[in-house]
Amino acid sequence: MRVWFFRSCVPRPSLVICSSVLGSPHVAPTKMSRRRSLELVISDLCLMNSSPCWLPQDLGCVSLLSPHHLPSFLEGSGGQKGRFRFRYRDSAGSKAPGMAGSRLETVGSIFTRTRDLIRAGVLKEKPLWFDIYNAFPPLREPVFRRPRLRYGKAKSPTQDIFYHEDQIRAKFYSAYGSGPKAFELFNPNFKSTCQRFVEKYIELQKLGETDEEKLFVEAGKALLAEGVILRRVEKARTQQEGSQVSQKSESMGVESQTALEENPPLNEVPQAQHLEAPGEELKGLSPP
Amino acid sequence: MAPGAVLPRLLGAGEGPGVARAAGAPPGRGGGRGRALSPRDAGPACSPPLRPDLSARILSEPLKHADFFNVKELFSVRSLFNARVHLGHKAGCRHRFMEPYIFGSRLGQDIIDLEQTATHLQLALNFTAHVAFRGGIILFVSRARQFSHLIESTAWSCGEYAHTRYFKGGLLTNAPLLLGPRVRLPDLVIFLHTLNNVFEPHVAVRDAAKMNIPTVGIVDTNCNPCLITYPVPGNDDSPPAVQLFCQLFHTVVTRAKEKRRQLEALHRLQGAPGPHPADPTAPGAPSPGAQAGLGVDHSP
Repeated sequence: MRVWFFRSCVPRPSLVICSSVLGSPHVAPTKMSRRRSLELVISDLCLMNSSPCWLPQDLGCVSLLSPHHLPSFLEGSGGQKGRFRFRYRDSAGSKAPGMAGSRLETVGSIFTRTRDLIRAGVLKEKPLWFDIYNAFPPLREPVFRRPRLRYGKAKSPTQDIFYHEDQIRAKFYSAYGSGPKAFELFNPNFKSTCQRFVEKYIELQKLGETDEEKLFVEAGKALLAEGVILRRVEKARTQQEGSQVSQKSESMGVESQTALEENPPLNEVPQAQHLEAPGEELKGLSPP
Repeated sequence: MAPGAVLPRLLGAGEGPGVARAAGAPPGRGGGRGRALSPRDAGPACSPPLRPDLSARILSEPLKHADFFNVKELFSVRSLFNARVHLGHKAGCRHRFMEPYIFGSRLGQDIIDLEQTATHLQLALNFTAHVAFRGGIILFVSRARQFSHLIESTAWSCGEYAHTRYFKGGLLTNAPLLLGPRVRLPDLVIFLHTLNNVFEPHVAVRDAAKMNIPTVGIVDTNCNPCLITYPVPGNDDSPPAVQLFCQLFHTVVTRAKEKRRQLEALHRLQGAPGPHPADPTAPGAPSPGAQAGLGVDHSP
């Protein structure tokens, strides 16, 4: 059991590291676990009384350190260019009477820091939220993580959402544009012309038709019978649109092509299927 | 809890006009008293404080139930969907740490997984309720000007505090200097918007972590959820979504305070400590005994 303290070069109360160590004495070699054990270890001290006392017995903290641990901490901290910050505090800067604290938001979570301060005897009163956190902890411990960039070919695991109906929609948009009716995005139950077309298409498909061209034409005819007039977008016009600067039409054109080409990987996510119809309208994303 | 805290100054420090200071003490606390008095000290005007063992029982009782305040009934995945909570930003704005909460990307727009949102929201609302039950100070923070009035009026109506203006550096970390010698800091900070107006993390996120204050925050797909104690992945830009969240927090805080008043009145009426008091006035009475809880079995 030893207490280590360092003298700073200026004649002020010295920096003190006091620690309590839990768990196995084995020091894991990785950076994260070293930081973790250090996080168990460092408590920031706020001195209550006015006299600047920097002897261990005045600080009121329990210190247990196995000499096996500290050298690696020292090496780690020295070599990593001040990543572990040692805080100096004197009584003049105390926040409120009876309030000790640890301001190291990068070291652990608020819960681990508070728990360690309480166990070390530095923090006398349990804070209000402590028992509640103990009883209902969050799903992920709120520990600081440094956001790192992805390099090379590493890509994020987020998947694209595609449905089988997207193929039909792509064909519809390339043939007829966005349809005669304007999109009403504030209405949650809104059905666009394209959506009605897709529903007709699927109905006809269920009746047994297999040929895509035929289905397309039949669905168009069914809509016509209901009174919706679909105007074909001329080929010359689509070529003009394709050559225009507007990104939306280009991306839509690209999207429709990719949607058509992506036949094999078009596996819809199972939960997404039942959200498809309202989700389609609510997003109101489909660009003209 | 340190008495005599000058709480309205917590709101007013360093701010221009228009913050709640002009309107005096929020309802449900001092009720008509001047700004100089702490609204929280007005409580004992009606009743003497409870015996310590009774108040200890009141404090410990709610922790034994998984959902003492029945926050699950306040929302559903369908209601979150209708409020457009699942809509995230475009894929280019995505924050790396939000990827686990994202269901997928629909034509370039991230869609947040509402099943996870529901779980996180239940935990966050439950935590908020318990803090309010124990008389904790809740501070609503946001820097979105579109919703600043809504958030301020929500905080006002549930008797808590809001800060939707420029956050002066050191407000939490240097409170004795900016706000006065003995100021009680908030016990919970709720972020309706985690980013400030230049799309950087709000300073209060880091400062609350520094001051060991738990936080609840609505994190959109471009936010960093690391330092937030109870993050709730969800849309923070659409008005229906923010209105839903404000309404949920308001309901939960009001419900918790009401329950506290009821339990205290009950214990006062009963006088001597009897057997385990079932709470007859609970809005959704929790079944006695252990319920299967969502977050209860996790260890930090």
